[in-house]
Amino acid sequence: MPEAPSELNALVTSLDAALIDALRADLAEVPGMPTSNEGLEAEFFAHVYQYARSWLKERDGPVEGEKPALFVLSRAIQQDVERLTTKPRPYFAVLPDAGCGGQVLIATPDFSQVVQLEDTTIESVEAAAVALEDVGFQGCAHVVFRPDRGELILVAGGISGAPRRVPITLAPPIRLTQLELEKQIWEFHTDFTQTPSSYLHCWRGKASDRVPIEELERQISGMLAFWLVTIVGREHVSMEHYTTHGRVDVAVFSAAMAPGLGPSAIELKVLRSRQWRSTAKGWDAVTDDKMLEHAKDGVQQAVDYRAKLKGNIAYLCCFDARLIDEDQIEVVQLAANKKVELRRYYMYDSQPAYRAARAKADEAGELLSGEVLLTG
Amino acid sequence: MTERRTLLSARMWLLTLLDGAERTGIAPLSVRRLHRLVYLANAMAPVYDLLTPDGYLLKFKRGPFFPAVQWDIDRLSVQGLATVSGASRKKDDLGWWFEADYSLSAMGMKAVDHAMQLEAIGEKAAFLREVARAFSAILRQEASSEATADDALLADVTFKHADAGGPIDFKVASENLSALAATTIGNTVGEGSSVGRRAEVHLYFRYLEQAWDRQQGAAVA
Repeated sequence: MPEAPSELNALVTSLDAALIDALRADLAEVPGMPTSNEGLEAEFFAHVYQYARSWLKERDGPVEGEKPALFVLSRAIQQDVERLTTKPRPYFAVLPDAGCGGQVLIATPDFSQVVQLEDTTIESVEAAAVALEDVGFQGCAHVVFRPDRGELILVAGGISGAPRRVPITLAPPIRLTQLELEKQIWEFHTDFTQTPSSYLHCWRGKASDRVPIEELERQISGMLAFWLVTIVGREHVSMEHYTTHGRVDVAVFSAAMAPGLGPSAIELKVLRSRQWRSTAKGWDAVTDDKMLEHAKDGVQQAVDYRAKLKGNIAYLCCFDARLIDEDQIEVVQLAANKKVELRRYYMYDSQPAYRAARAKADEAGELLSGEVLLTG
Repeated sequence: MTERRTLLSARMWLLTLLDGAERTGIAPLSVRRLHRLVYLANAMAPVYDLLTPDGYLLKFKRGPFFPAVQWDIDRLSVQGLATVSGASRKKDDLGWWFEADYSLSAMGMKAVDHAMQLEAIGEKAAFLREVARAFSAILRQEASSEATADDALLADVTFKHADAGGPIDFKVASENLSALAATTIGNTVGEGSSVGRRAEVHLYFRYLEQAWDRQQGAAVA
C-alpha cells in the first residue's frame, strides 16, 4: 500500500480529541435528505411538519378559528426577497409561539431562511391557491397548515399537483418494532402509491397503460422518508444514505428502532412490465427476466446495506407496476435464504381494479401482497 | 466535438452550482465566493466519484482563481443564463481587482431543469447542491462571519501546501489531498466506519472552519 502523503499525516496528527468530539457532534446536523428535487421537497415537508407540530403542542392541540398558513418552497429565496415585499422571520423554525395563521411564508428547504409575504393574508385554504398564483409560485411545492384541524395539506407539484392531507400527531416519536415499521410502510403504500387517486402520480399517461414514470423510485424514496420522519422524527431517518457499497434508499437509525433491532436498511425497487419510450406507442416492453435480475440485485443490495449499517434488519420493498400481480418465486427464495424481508406492494391502475382484488382476497381469507393489518 | 462537449459540461457544472447556491439562499455569489465554491466542489468531487471539468486552477494571492471559470461565468451572463450585478473595479493593498455578484437567471433555471432530466447531470447536480448546502451551513454558524466562512477554505490541505501563485491540479483523484482528507476525517469521526459521503463533505467543511479558527487564534496569540 502506498505511503500516505506527509501533508495527510500532518492533518491526522492535528485531529485532537477536542476536534474529533466537535466533529462528531456536527454529525447530528448533517442533513438526512439528499439534494435531489425529491429530497429537497421531502426535507421541506419534514421541516414544515416539525414546525406545525411544535406550534400545536405549544397550544395543546388545534385552535378553533385559527386561519391557515401557507408555506412555499423557494427556488431562489434571495431573488424572491428582491422581487416581492417581504419581511424576514429569523429563528422561525424554533419559535412556535410566534404567529403564522393567515400568513404566506417562503422558505429554503431546511428552513434556514424564512420570509413572510407582507400585505397578504389568507383566510381559507382556497385563498392559498389564489395567493400562490398572485405572486408567481403556482409551480412550487407548498404546504397549507390548518391549525384549526391539526393537519397539513402537502402539494409537491404546484397548484396542479395532487394534494395530500397529513394529520399531525402530537404523540411523542416512537421506537418502531419490526411489525410497526411494516405497518407504516403498508399505510404509506395505501395512501401514496396503491391507486391512481393516491398522492403520488405513478403513471405516465393513462394509468391503464401501466407505464410508470421514470423517476418513480426516487419519488417513493422521498415520500417514504418523509412519512417515517413524521413517525420517528427527522434526525432518525436518512434518504439516499451513502455507504462504501452504494446508496441505502431509506435508512432508519437505531435510536428510532426498538431496543436490540439496530438500524434498518430499506431498499426500494419499482417492478415494471413497460418502460416509457418516445415512440408512437409510448412504451417498450420490459422482460420478466430483466425484472427478476432487478429484484435479485435488490436483495443483494439489502444484504450489503444491512452489513454496512451494522444492523439486523434489511427490507427489499418492491412497488409493483407490472401487468400481473404475482410473486417472483426466485426472488422470494433468494430473500429467504439471505434473511432479507421481501415485501411486494402492487399498484392498481384503477379503483375498480383495487376493489376487485380486495374482494377476492377477502373471499379467500387472504391479505393483499405486502398487507399488514392496521388494527390490533 | 470533444472540446465542445467539455465546454458545455464545464458551463453546466457552473450553472448547477449556482442553482445550488440559489436554493440554499447564499446567492448572489461574489467573485471571491464563486471561485472558492468551485474550488471546494472540485476538491470534493472524488468523494462522490465524479470527475471535475476544471481540474486546473491558480493559488492566487486572493485565494483560488480559475481563469476558465471566470471566462465561463461571464459568457453565461452574456448569454442570459446568469445575471451579473454590482460590477466594479477596486484597488487595495493586493492591487487592482474587480468585483461582481452572480445569480442564476430565470432562463438559467429552465436550462438546469431541462438538464436535470439527464441522469448524468442529476448526479452531478445533487453533489454540487450538497457542496452549496454544506458551505451555507458554515455561514450560518453564529460565531462565524461571512469572511471567516470564505477564508476557512484557505485551511484546505491541498491549497495550504500548494506554492503561492502556482498551479493546483485536481485531475488525478488519487493525488487529491482534500478528498483523501475528507475520507480520513470521516473514518476518524466514524471510528473506523464510513459516515457516508454526504457526511464526509459536510464534516470536511466543518473541519476547515475549525482549523481556520485555530490557525487565526494561534496567529493572534
